[in-house]
Amino acid sequence: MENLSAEKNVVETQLSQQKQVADTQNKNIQTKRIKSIDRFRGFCVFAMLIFQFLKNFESLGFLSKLAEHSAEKGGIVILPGMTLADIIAPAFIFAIGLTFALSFSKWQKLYGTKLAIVHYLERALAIIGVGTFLSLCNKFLDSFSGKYTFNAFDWTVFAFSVIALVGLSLRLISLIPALRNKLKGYAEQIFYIALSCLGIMNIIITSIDYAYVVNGTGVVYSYWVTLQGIGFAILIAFPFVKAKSWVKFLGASLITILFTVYHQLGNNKELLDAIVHGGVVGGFGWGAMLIFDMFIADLFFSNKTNSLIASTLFFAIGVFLTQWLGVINMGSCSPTFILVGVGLSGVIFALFDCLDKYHKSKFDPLVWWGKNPIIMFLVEFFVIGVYTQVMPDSVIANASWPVALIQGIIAVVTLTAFAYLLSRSKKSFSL
Amino acid sequence: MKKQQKDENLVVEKENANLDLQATTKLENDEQKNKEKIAETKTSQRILSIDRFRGICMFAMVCSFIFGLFASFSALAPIIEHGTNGFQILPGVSFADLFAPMFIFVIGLTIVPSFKKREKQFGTSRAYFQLAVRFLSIMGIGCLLNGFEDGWSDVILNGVPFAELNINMKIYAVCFWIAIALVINLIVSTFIKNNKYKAISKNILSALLALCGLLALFVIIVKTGEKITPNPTSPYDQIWDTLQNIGLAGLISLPFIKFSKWGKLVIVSIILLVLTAFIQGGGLSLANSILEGGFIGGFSWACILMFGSIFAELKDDKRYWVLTSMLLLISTVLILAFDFTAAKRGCTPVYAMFTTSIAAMIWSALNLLNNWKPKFSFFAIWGSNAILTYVVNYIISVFILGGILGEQVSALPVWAGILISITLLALFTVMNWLLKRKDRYIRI
Repeated sequence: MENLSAEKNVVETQLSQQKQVADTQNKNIQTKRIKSIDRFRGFCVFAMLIFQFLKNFESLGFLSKLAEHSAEKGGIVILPGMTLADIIAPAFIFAIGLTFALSFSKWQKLYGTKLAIVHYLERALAIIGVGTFLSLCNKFLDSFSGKYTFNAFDWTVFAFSVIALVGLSLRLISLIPALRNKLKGYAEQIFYIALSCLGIMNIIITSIDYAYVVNGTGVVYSYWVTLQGIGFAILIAFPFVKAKSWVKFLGASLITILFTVYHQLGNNKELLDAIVHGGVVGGFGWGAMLIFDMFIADLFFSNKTNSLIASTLFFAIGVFLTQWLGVINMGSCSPTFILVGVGLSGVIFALFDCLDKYHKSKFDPLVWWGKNPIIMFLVEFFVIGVYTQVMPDSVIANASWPVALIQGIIAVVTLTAFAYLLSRSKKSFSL
Repeated sequence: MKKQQKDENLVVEKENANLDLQATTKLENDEQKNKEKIAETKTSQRILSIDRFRGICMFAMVCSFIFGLFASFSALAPIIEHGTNGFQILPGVSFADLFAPMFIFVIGLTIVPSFKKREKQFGTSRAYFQLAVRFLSIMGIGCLLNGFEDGWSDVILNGVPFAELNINMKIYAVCFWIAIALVINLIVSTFIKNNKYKAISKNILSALLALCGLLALFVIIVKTGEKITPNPTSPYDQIWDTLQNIGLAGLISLPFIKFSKWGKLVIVSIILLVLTAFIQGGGLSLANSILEGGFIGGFSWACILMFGSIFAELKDDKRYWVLTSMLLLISTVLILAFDFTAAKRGCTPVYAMFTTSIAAMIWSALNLLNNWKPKFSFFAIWGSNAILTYVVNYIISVFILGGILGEQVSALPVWAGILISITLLALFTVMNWLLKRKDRYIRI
């Protein structure tokens, strides 16, 4: 008996030692954040949110056009068919690509391959799910003003959204130490499964939407925007997460070639253009983009010069091919958009990384912005979005430029302060 | 006795020690000589990728000349036509437009080693002088070929009186025959065992060619001025062709040859910036009014040449590809997104940057094949005697087949065209192969 209890003690000691080692590893991995990546991600989030806010104020001139995707509506054209706003989404995808493989490896080390795979698939679907929920919120607002009537699918999405919100509430309740052990696991599962269901439903309904577009009916459900595109791209890129660099390159090239053939045939480009970011079919293009980004990330971690060279070549070849494959069109995720999106993002990131050695100050707003992109995204949607909807036109659309500028500055300062507080408290929220 | 024997022993030991010392010194000297020999061999060793690259350019150029002779080969027009008539790689840049800059890029790859070799042998000033004479001579050869093609063809074939030719054309036409006589004299001198005679013959020919080149330089500056302020009674003909252009590019880049790669890059950037401002500011019509841009375009061609020397220094450096990709990106974006004019005629800066990046990529790829040394390396053979190939091709393709027999050759059916093309290409291959096998390289 004594032997048994001694063995038990030894095993427990070993287990606790292993746990300590795992925790230390976890901490080490967490503390080893690459500032330039955070800064770059922060820049993308800042550009997405603030430029989007400034878009509401006509009087701000070119500042109000920074987030405009359409050249006809005054978007700032930087390359054939491409406006300044078009680069933000690929840049954000690039930021994901930079850390995707590292992040997965971290999970794999801590919780094993099986759990890591399940987590990342759930995470990708959950991102689509969050996007679906935000789309539902927009439809909800429109239904109040009588512009939209809910259909059966909207009600289904509504039901799953309620379940996800219940899960989220339970997660919040589980922050109470006494309830933590009882609730946390269930709350997470309810939340993730509901969001994943929303994600799967969205993929199916957007595919049906595309079939309607092909038939000539047009978009019926319209549930596909930026977050959905990002989530779907992660799903496509996921099988390559542990692949060698050359496999990633070949895989992405193959997907790009197949997508290019489809994109260039008949009127497919116009069909893809009918759904935001090309919908599910266009998502394959975004997926290829993410795999290329992961390939460049591999190069970056082994040799920074090589990643710059690869990015520059992607960019140059993308622009070069506009002669034969058409302009850089974000709407249909044109092949040239894939290549330019990867290349230009890589070049911009190389600039950030290059400036990294000159940045010694602790005052680093972009790093704060980059640490909690999802929270910042949600805050922008619910706070800024509601603000612009509620305020009268005299304060928003028809505001004079000083009034608009003051609001812009307040938005920047407030959101930066919020990002700083989140960063300082070391609280982060990720799916 | 003992002392005497001891002394003798000491002397013998001393002699032996001396002999050892002498032997060691001799060995050291031999080693030194061997090292120097190896070093010399290494410097004189031809880099295969450069010969191959030059060969590709020469082969493409000769093919474009030959294929252009036959009307029945019109299907090939897109790949041999220049400018907007050819297959467009970029708006204004045809496939055929890639080869002339590549050739100048190859000159840039070897210009610094060539200068250093001369500098080591004769000193800096003389090295500069020799290279200046070399580039002027290349211009001179171009002028003499034009004097033959344009001057004498007008006189013989079109019946234009010699007196009616412009002054510079008359000089080139006359000098052409003098040069032929001097070349024959030079060939004869190789059979006579008199080095002084051989050297004098060589120097006279060089001097004649360089003087013709100097005249060409003067005339092109005058003609450029006349484009700005027209002179209807100008006594000079506008004679400007590929070789003159190559020579001018060499002359312009010569003062910067001793600069470091970064120094050259700064100079190239300044020249390209100034030229871009000039071309985009409305100077294109002036630049493209003369073949290859004339005097103004010469600066862009010089940039390509200097880029060649920069890339040669960066050969085994990661920054080679950074520079290549940057040039490709900047030129492509400026041409396609900002509508900057790309044209071989006028050699616009974006054209220079784009073609340089393509040349750099091809050379990098060819460098990977440097360890592959087949006995019959086709393009290396073609690249071993470029200037001779150019001159012979010019006489055969341009003057005889394209000029004297122009109409008959043009009307030949496809099968005859193919037969003649293959025969000519085979002849050029054999000529270059024989010369390379005997280690004979015709240099200026």
